[in-house]
Amino acid sequence: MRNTFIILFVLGFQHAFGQLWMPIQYDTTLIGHEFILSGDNSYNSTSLQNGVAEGLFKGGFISVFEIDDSYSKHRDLNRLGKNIQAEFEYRNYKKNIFGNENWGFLVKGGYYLIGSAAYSDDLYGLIFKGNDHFLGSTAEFSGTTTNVMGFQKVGFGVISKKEKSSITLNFVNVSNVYKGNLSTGTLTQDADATSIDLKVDGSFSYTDKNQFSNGLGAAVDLDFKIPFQWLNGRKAYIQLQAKNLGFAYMNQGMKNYSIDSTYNYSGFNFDQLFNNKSLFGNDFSLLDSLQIQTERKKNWVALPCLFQAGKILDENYQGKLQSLFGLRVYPTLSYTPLLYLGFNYRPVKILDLGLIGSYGGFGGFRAGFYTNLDLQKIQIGLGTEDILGFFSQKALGESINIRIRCKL
Amino acid sequence: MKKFVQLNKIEPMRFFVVFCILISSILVSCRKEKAEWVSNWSLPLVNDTLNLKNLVTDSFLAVNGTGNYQLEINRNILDINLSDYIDIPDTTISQKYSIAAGSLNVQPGTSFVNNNKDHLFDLQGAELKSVVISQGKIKISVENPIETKTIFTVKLPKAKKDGQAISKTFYAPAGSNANPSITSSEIDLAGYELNLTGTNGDGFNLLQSQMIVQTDDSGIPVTVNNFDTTKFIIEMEGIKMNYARGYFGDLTVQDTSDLYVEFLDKITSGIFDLPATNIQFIISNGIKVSARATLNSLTNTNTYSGTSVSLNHPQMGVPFIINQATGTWDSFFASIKTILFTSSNSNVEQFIENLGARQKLDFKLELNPYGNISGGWDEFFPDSKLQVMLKAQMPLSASMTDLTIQDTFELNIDSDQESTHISEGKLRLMVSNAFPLQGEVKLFLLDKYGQTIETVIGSELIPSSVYGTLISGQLQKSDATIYFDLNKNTLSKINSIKRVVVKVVLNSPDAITNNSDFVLIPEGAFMAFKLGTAFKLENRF
Repeated sequence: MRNTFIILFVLGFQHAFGQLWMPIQYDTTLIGHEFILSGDNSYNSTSLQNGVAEGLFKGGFISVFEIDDSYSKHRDLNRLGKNIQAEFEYRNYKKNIFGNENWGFLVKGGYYLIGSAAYSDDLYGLIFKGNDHFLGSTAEFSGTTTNVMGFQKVGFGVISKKEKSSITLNFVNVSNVYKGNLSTGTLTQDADATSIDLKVDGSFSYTDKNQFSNGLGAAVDLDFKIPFQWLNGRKAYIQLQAKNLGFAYMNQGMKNYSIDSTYNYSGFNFDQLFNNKSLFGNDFSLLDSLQIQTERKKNWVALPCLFQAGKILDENYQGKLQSLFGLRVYPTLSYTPLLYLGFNYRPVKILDLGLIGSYGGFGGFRAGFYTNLDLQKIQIGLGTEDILGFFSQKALGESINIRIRCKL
Repeated sequence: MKKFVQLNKIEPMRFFVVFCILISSILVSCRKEKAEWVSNWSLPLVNDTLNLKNLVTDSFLAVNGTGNYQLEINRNILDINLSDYIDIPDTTISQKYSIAAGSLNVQPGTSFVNNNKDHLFDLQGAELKSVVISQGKIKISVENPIETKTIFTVKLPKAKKDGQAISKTFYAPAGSNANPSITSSEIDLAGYELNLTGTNGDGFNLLQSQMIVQTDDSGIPVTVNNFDTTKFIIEMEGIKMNYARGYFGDLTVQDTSDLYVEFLDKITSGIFDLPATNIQFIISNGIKVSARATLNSLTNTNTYSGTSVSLNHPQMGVPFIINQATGTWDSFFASIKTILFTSSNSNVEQFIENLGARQKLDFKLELNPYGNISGGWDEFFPDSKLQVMLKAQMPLSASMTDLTIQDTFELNIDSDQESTHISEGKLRLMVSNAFPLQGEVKLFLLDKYGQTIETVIGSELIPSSVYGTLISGQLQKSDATIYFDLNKNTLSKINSIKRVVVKVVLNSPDAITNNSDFVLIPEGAFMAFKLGTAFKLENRF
């Protein structure tokens, strides 16, 4: 049994699959132990179609057609986000914590890779089409931001045995951070590619040491279920959730590049090429030539925390149709508040089917679907936040969520 | 429904674990390959203009009355500084003194030695009377065998600077015959004039010295016997002169001087035709000594054809007298001897048209060929030199037929075809040419063994300005954009390419006949280059 847990944990680190859309059901059943494995692997954008995104994230050739088709969807400013997470949780309702017979305890661990970017259509064009596309014009990159973090956590918390509300304090290890912004960025070229003007004001920081731990921190997970009066005198429940609310100190330091300069380049002259050895000499530095400041800094970083508030399903509801809706926010990322609304249909006691529409987040409107099989002691949920992403290369996202719950 | 019931009977924890492992294994087995796409990039590489303005400021070129450039060559090909041949070698001289016999009681403060001596230098035939030292030093040491503190005064009365002779006083501690005390000091000789006529003033190569020895006032009475030898030693080292007077001897210098003109080694083939040409050899004697010189030969060798051409002229191999310079230290006038090489009295055209990069001058120089006829009054001054200069003034005009200039550049590119790399592309050369020359550009890509892997030929010629449009005055220019195609096959071998040979084949066409003809280079002629890339980048991440 112990070995099995180790295998699961290791596998969870090697890939990811997710949880967020899976219907959390208000379940007041008194049980002894509960194991939950959940995962999410999703990507969403306002503009980047799956044809390109799949190539980027999964590998493979991205055709010119796919690049151009996606380019046509881009606007002045675009967003994209990627969320990979795997989480394991064990809940013990047998033990009483702090002498309180209503509280059990939980331990959890997880791996998270969450990132977002806001970027211009010209930046997309430059990366995927090259600077030929902008000859005789100006490409604008101002407003570009990116924030990517990969981290792991292990936590211990208390959980109410009946409502399953919980508070968890987590120890966090940060493996990677990539963070940058360009407040100003323009590239101007003449039509025959003989002169380039670059104006840049921005910075980029990243963990340059290729090691497991580059920073340590702490985070709190909160999960509260609150009853409220619903239609026809029925009682319903709202779940208030905060995840990864915390900070980490990058004790191994991050390499920081900053630039605020205007650079004109129209080719080297013969003296630089043949007589002035500085161009090819050891003392030549491209960073210096571009006036890029380099430094290493130890600093605090905010974890990409999630806030979600929404009506959840009532497991004891006898009808076949229930609604669920809510709001989700990642305040540290390029993420607009996401609103979702959906319905859960229970054709038989052991099966839930759900259809959810959402708007916001890293992209725009999306339709999601899930199914949940309840075998009394085991529940298996599988879903997606983006149905279209399963079928179309022109969709703007992909998503797969999974949640396995075992009650003993 | 039945299946669900059966599943429900399975031990839940085991099912949970098995299911998780199954899902995990499926996802882990999804092997990730690199993302790939192709983008198109154009970047400037070189942006510069070649012209002859710098050469004009270097007095290599001038503009003549017709608004065309002309060659103004004024170049030293031989530079003899006589101080390299006549010098005072590193020398050690010493002066000893002891009483003749018996012993002498010496009271404190008593002078018991006052001795003069002339020291002879061996200057290998030269008989110098006066020299001025530009650099060098002397070290003076004294040895005291007397058993009391003793004062040595060492003087070089005829070694003066600003009128002051060298005089050095040493306070030597008490010593003994077996173990004399030694005291020393150094003097920088730069700027000192040495009169080498000796004590009597009528000799040469003689340096006068004086040693005075007395016991210290505060010492004790001592007995000095004939075994007590007081001594001083002068070591002269690194002496260089910038003035000398005397008879310099019958020195003969026979040598060869090699001159390498690197640019000419880049011309590998073709025909270079010059109009009638004059060049002068100017022999300038800035030394007050008569000489006899012989230009034995001047030969150049073309590296590629192996052809050597020797300059023929009635004066070659025939000795000629160079008169001595006139004047004094402040204002002396070099004696000049000019030898003119023209198309009619020599093969100077053929000599230049051979485009030999390696030039060799064989010469002989004899000083005082008729002996000491100056009465020992040869002189050289700080700026005195014997020089041979090449001087030419001719229109910058030539006819070129397939004149091939080539240069080689090292290249070391490590391109991983499995990572982001350039898959194909072009070099684009935008050129504006105001020279009346037409060029074809070829690139030869060589491996580490020097074998040609690929040859890349420009899509068209660099057109001569004679086919172009008028800019100003008589200056015309032609514009062209030339592409060098670097296809996939070429770039797939990029890691093997270690050198690039750029070969330019030049012609000087006539605008009407298109045949090579003599062309003049107009003032302000230039060739502007804008070399850029246009390539496909295979991005792989």
